[in-house]
Amino acid sequence: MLTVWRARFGEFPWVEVLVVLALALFTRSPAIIVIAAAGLVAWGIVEVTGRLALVALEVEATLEPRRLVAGETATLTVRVTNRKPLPIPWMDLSVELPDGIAPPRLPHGMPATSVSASFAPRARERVTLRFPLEVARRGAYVVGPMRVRAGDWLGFMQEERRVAVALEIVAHPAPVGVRDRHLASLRPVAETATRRGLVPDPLRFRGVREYRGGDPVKEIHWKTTARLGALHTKVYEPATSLDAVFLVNVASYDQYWVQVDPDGAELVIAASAELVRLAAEAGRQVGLITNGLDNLTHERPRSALSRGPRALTRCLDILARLGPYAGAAPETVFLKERGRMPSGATLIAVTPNLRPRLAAALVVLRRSGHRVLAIAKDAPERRVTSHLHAADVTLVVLDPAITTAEGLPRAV
Amino acid sequence: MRSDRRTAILIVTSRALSEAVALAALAGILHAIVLGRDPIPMIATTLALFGITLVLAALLRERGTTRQSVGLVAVVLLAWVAWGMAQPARSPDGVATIARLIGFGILGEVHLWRALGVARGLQRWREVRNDALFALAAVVVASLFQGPVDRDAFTVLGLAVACSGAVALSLARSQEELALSTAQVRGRQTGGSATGTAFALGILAFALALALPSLEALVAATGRILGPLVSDVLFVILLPLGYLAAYLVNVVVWIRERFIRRTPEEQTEPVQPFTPQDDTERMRQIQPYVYGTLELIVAAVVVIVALLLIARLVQERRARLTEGVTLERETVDGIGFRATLRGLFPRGAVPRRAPRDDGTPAGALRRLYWRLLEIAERDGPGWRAPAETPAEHEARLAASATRWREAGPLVRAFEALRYGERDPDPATLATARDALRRVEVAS
Repeated sequence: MLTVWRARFGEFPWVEVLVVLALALFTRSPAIIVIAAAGLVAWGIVEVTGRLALVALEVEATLEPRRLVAGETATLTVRVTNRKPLPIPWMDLSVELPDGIAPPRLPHGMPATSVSASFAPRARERVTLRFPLEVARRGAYVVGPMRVRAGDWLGFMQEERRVAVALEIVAHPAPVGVRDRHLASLRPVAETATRRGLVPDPLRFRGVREYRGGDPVKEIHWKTTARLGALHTKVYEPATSLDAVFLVNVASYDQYWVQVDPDGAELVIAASAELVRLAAEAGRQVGLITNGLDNLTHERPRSALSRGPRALTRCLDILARLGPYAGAAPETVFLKERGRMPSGATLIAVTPNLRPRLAAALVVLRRSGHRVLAIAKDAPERRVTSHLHAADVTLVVLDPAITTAEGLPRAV
Repeated sequence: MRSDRRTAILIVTSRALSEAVALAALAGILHAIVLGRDPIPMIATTLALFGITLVLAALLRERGTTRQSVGLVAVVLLAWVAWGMAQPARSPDGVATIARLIGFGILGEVHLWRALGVARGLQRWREVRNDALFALAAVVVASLFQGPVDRDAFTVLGLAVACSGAVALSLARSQEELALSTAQVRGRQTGGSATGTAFALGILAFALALALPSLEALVAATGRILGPLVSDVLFVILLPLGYLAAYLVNVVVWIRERFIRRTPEEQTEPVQPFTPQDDTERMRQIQPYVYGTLELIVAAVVVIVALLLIARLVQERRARLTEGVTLERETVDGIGFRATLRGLFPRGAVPRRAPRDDGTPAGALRRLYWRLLEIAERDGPGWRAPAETPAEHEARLAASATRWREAGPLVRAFEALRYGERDPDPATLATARDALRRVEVAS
């Protein structure tokens, strides 16, 4: 009962006021009447201003930019609008922060679980607060909810409101230096010239050669034939498709649910993001398959092969939002997705390490008509290397000295 | 900052006033108990204690100490005991004298303890509240005490404590909430301009207390000369109020006669027309009521002044922000007072009522969907919004966590019932039930 009244009237001494009021009625002493009247007036002020503290108060928040690179600073803007004609003597506002986001200059000893500000909105006034927030690590974060607290004019009551705000921000991995080691695709869609390819591109005329039996008649270069007096056939440059499907593995151990090398997984994700960016800048189509889980939805994301800025953004978002844990073994996911991969597409597997089972899966993919480039952080065992070499799977080992060096020329 | 200094001075002044009133009231009671002859003059005593408390608090803060030293205790106790013994008493016996010695000694210790409290927790809201309540309680007890106590002064003192306490409470709460740490609320334990002002105020109050008897005599002499003149002037000024009061009384009488039937015995003789002499005589008769109105006006003015003061003080522009945070203010359109006051009586939320299970498949399906909404509110993103379709709500659920995808068949069946008006067949109902079970298990 007392708790209910305490919640209703805050710390106001209503019992004492009632006692003094009763004494005033019985004794009719002027001093007690004055004190009882003052108590009633104070009670009224506390009750009215306390209950009106958060009335006609609008709170909204925005976060800009919503996408950034780890290490950059975002700005959280909170607008508090007091539309009533009464001022608020004090207001405390705090916004909850997820782990990984913190104010740039955190006061010593203060936990980085929230940012807060105390101020006093006047009547019919909008207060705009801007909090700089540093996003130190790659990831997807949700900023919020907010908590607004205010009280009556005399300080006896406090009202608190929780504002359901969920501002999502995606921090892309910080750039690392990688080389663009693309392999020409085996897809029968001619998009660019290559030294070896399935399809000669009729738009890419390279020259003529002497006629050989079996050459199509339509390919005979009649002007040269007339000039030289012998049949000559047109020769075209071979062409190939510009595509790259990235297979990103975040599991660093045979038991995929155990993460033993979080730094390695981070490096893999950062290198994948850079490779995706390079591929998109080179005009290739990019797709992404991973065994990692989205940090917010806890689903396994994927991006179909596509070209353009939206595809790039989609892939980078997927990589940014990946959590540290895998949802399945990489070989299981990559082989399961085999049926959905475009035929002949180049596969670029980026992984912390290459264990025999994953290597075997890559060999299977190679045999099913894909060119496969395996990029591993740790050098695999010799037998795995030999196995991959024999199956025509290109293997590249990431050199941390190179990947962490800034300003590295991006050699194709 | 200038605003902080002013705030500190106002709060410490209010606290010192509360302590002074409380101690003066307790001293008055003690004096009456230990066979005191004449009541202790409350106004002068309060002023003196107010000044001493301010000076003590300022000195303690200046020295940066908040502990009682032996020398300080000895000086304060001796001063209180000496003052207590100097008060006139009615043939005191040994017990009364010892009681007076001990009582005033205890009051001296209390005074020192409270002064230390003022110096220590300068701007704490809780201490400001405790001080004001303590003073008002002391005033109430002293007013009820049967003995030679100067009760007339308690009206003014009570009002002063209430008004200054309200202002100090408002300021202290703002100061606490707009400060980042308790240390900032307490203030540094060193001297400063605020402490200097408090010291000066204390000296001024003490001097005023010493000069109060002479001032009272001067005011009394002036009052004897100017009193009749002022009384006549006030009478002329307040005469319209008297007429207004008479008019209101006549209106009440008319209403009473119009709506309340009286017995013949209650019938009175018709009133004869008044002569000017009668008018003057009647005005003389209602003069006490006019002066009662004056007191009410004074009280109302005090309340209005207090409200205006609080309203001005809450026009607070201070803000405590961490480094790098910026704050901008701009004026916006708003709502009026009437709309604001409507906020005092918010409409209560309409209670949700679960659908009735009437034994039909449709009723069972509605109950299943209701259960899903309850789980969503308890463990998920919440109840379906009024402007949200079941499919949109399901999408919101699924976006929050994958386990909510299990609810798909149940939502489809509910939509078919709700919008397609198709009663579910047993297979659909079983599927929906299974879907809900899976959601419950996953939750």
